[in-house]
Amino acid sequence: MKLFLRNVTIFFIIVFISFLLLDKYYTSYSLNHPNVCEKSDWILNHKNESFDFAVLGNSRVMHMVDISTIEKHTGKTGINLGIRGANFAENYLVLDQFLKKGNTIKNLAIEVNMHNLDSRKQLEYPFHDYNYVSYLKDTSVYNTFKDNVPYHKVLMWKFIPFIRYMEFSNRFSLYKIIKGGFECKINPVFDLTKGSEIVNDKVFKDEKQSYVYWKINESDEKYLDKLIDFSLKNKIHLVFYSGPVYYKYQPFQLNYKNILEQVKTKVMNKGISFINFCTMQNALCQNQGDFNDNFHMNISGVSKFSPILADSLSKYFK
Amino acid sequence: MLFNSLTFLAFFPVVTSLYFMLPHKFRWLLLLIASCFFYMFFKPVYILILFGTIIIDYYAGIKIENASGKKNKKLFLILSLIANIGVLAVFKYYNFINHNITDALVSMGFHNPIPFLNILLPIGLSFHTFQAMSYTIEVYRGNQKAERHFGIYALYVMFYPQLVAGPIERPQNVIHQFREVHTFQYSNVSAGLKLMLWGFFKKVVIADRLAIGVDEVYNHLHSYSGVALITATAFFAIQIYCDFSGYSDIALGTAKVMGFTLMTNFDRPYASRSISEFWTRWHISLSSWFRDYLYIPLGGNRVKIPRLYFNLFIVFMVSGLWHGADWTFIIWGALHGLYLIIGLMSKTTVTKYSQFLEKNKLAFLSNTLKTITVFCLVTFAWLFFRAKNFDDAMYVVKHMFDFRSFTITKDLYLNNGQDFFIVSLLMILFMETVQYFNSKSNDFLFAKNPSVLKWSFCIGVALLISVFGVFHRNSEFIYFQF
Repeated sequence: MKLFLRNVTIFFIIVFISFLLLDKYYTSYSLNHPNVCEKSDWILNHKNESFDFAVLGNSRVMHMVDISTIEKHTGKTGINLGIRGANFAENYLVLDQFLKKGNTIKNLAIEVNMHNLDSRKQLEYPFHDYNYVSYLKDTSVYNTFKDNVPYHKVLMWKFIPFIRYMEFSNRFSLYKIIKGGFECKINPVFDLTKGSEIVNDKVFKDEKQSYVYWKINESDEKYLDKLIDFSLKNKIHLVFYSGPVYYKYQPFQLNYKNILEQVKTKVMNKGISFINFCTMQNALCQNQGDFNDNFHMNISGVSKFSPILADSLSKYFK
Repeated sequence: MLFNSLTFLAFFPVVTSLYFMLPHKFRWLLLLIASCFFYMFFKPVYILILFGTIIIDYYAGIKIENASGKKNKKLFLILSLIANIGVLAVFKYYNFINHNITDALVSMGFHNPIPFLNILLPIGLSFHTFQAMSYTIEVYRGNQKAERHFGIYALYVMFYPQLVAGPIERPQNVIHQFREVHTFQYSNVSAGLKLMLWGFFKKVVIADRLAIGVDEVYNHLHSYSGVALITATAFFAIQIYCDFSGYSDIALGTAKVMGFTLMTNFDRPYASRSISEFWTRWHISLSSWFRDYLYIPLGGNRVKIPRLYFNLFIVFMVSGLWHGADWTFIIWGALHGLYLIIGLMSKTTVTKYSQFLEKNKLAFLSNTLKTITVFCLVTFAWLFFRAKNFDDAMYVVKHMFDFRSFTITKDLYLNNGQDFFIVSLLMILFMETVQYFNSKSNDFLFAKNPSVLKWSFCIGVALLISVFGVFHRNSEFIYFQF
């Protein structure tokens, strides 16, 4: 028994030390060699930059907001912080880390829609934990993880070295590190569009409609509130808006008008403006040719929406 | 509970520690409770089915032993077999048979009034049913005394390391071990843990990694042809070996730590030089089950040639059906039956050519050719095993030699990047090299080597699992579905 315990202890000590070294190496490597094909890595690769405005949200921001059009109309410099499939918790985490890297934003437009107000209903994986495990030592990242990832996992990732990279070995591949880095070292598309990824495909992807009842999810609301408080604390001027959704899709989205109204009331009580483009009557919602699917505009729709959004936002920007 | 889960990581040390701490008389109870807990992690209600068959077979064993005359013994054996096969028929084959009846009736313009059952297949059903059947058969044959201790008998069927995917044990090998006093022995614990480590390597590093590419191709078959289909099918051959033999290694290792010896289930099957040799190295516990309880009772090879071929074909068809209630599994089994028959028919010619090559000092070439041929034949049969249905399997057969378009990213990397392909190949090479040297020196995982080498190997494997393991897929073992 003594021999066994001695050998097992030695085995675990050696493995633990190896894990410590690997963890240090992977953390330093992934922070210094971001895969900028990944939108979150591209955003967090910015350091000490100043922006007059930023737009924050999920794919509806990433694909539907053309920063250069807004820049042209407002004369201000901006960045698209939208991440595909992200919930408010992820948006909060990204904004927090973005500012901690010395970047500044004067105005922030946040897009709300039924998907990010009730993120667990539609999205299978609304918090992309694997993109932020390298930042886990940061307290606010750790706290956001605690709310969005099973607690036992967060504890393991935090206290057992290297486990977080083992879990996501497909993203943090040793082979890729040895070969000279993750997929992208530069992303000329995002650099040119300032984070926008406008969909060029004009073929409408129709889906079979079914009724969905939406409500504001408690966790999403918590992070919406955190985003507001955090932005105000950092003296960022906020504007909320809800972008166009194809009008034929809207009747199937039960209660969505009420939840947008609730958000509108909430933010207006804090003195923040809210612009709603997501109504049955809105001209932007009428033409199927402007949409890539029911929920996302294509290049044709974006070319109509972005100038209107720019004009609306310019009224509120400081 | 999955072996490759965090729950098992906690379950195993707790159960093992308690096992050695408890007095011998309570150990069976601990193992039984632990096994129930292990099984109920999948779907708790199915434990009732398991206990139902355990009760039937427990009493059947006693009745067979106590019965006077062969006729009465046979009657109780048949009742027990009907009960076991009945459970299999209802849960595994009912919908398959009904589906075929429906197809036949519809093609004749009739409607099938028999309803389908909306039930899930209890996990590992075919394994523990066959293990239970081997008990009553062995009692009937007089090779095993009927077990009077209900707990020990239940443990024989339910022993958690081999409950859901084997090895399918024989009562003579296992039951007496539950009565033996197992003290903590360093050699057992060390060998068991090493075996588990090696099993985890095969499962998490190789099988789960290959599954990414194989699933990509087999889930989007119509986007692939030619080399991609061949690569994916060959990878599946390795995947299923590493998945199942990895499971068996973990099962054997888990039992070994507590002092139990279970039968070896795999012995480098892809190194076989004939299909018949393959079946003495692949899923040994099942192939020996079919040999002892079906092939030999049918007459074995002490019959005329046509009957011998018939016996082989039937046994392998049934083996295919054992794996799954689908025509693809039956075809997989039938193909192996056919391979064996052709192997027997061509034995003289093959031997003549082998001898010719050996005489010319080309034995290595002869052996390599044989091994490659066996691998190709077995891999071709695997495509029926992996395909979701018959149409998919036929798509693969028709398009696997269509080489009109070839791109490295699609056909070799299976759209999963260079690292998927290179790391997979390196890990397979590492596994095969280790197993080759181990088999040559009859030394499992370098146990006979100096401590430094032995421990460096274990730490190396642990680090390979950590760095190259695939942990994000939560993948079950393939054979759990049977």
